[in-house]
Amino acid sequence: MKNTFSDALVRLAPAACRPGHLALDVRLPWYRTLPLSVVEIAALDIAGQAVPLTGATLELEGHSHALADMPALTTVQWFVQDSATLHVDVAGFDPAAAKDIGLLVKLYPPYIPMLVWVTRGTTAQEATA
Amino acid sequence: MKTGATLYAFTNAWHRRELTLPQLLAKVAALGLGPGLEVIGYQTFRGFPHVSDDDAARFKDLVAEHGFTPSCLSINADMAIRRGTMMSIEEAVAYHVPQIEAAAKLGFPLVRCQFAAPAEVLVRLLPLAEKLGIRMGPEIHAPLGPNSPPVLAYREAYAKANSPLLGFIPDFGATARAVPPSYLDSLRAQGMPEVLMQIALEVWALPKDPGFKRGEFARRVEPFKAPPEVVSALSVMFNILSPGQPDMWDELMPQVIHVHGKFYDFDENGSEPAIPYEEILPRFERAGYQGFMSSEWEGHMYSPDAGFDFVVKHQALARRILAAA
Repeated sequence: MKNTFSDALVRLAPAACRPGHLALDVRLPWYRTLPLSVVEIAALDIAGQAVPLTGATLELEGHSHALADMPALTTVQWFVQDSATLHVDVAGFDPAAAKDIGLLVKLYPPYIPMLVWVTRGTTAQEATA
Repeated sequence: MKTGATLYAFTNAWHRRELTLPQLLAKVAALGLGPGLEVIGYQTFRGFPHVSDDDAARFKDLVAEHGFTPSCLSINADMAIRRGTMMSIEEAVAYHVPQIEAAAKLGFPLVRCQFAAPAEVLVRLLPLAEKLGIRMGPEIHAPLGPNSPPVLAYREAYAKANSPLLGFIPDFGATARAVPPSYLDSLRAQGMPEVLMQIALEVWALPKDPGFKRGEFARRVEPFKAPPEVVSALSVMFNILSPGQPDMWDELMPQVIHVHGKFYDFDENGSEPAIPYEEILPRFERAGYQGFMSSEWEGHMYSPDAGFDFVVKHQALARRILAAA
């Protein structure tokens, strides 16, 4: 099921892609700014195949953050109107043939401790957005 | 009761970066959606709760230019900013301090707080609030009501503190008569099975808390083998609206400092099908409430609309009811 942020969640960032390296423009799927500590880049797939996020980084306001470090980043804010860039090394990735990339983001809104907000988006939305 | 808008109603336009803050305020003013203006600090201001002198001055200039009256700054009790670990009382107090200072700096007379923080946090913040002249109150949002345990704990603490700066902010989504039809239509458009929706609606109407409703819903739909994401999508309705009766607000009236006029859609008569404004607003008038109601369209949860036309209709509905009250 989509939520209101699904269609805008992810786009290819072609200028930052190169052979073997995928870069995605990612929007925060929430109505307000959140710290990176409550953002989880949870899963990535290309053409339906899961891609490991080992070593992946999220670039925000010129700073690069390892996904593994994000739970500790309570003071690094993702402003709600900003894009971040997800960088992932993907063996055999060909930017010219990139399509059907899916991303799953989980948020843990810090004022609603029991809620996990799950948003999935795909680059396929680019054709219709 | 005075009318106004919260910029939260225009979340879609803001998230899509269609308007800058000056453009957004100009549009809200041009449509006559003030004079009250509510803002969520963590939505509108980059770097919040730090607000520079220049940013504060620019904001106050825009407010003056457009004739707004700052009504409420919504602040957040981000108690679980460390996943799985709740802030201590001391940490929560420290987390609120710069947000309340930002409210004063931006010209807001009160802050919307959240029940995620225990009442002790607000009581400890009273000296700062007194110094800055800021009123504070948590939002009573669905599924809570005046006699829910967290609200009762606040009421008890308020009775001891006995300060006019402490109050409550009712959100009318807690006194809903139905789940918004447009929300159900959006689920149907995504292929949600009708039988599951009807079961969810039956469970929504039960006089129980969301935890019970989620469990009860999962139990009732188990024979249908519905995927978890479908169950999750339907369970959202147990938290966004609750079927409280409008008279439940009566006992809190003397402590109401601000109001969230939650709404989703309108029928052919201009009434809100999910929330009985015709019953709610006259109660506030009769009780002598003279503060603001922020028009808070939340249809952006499922609709791509920018929200402006909805807020226009909401304020027309409010004016019609208030004129007759």
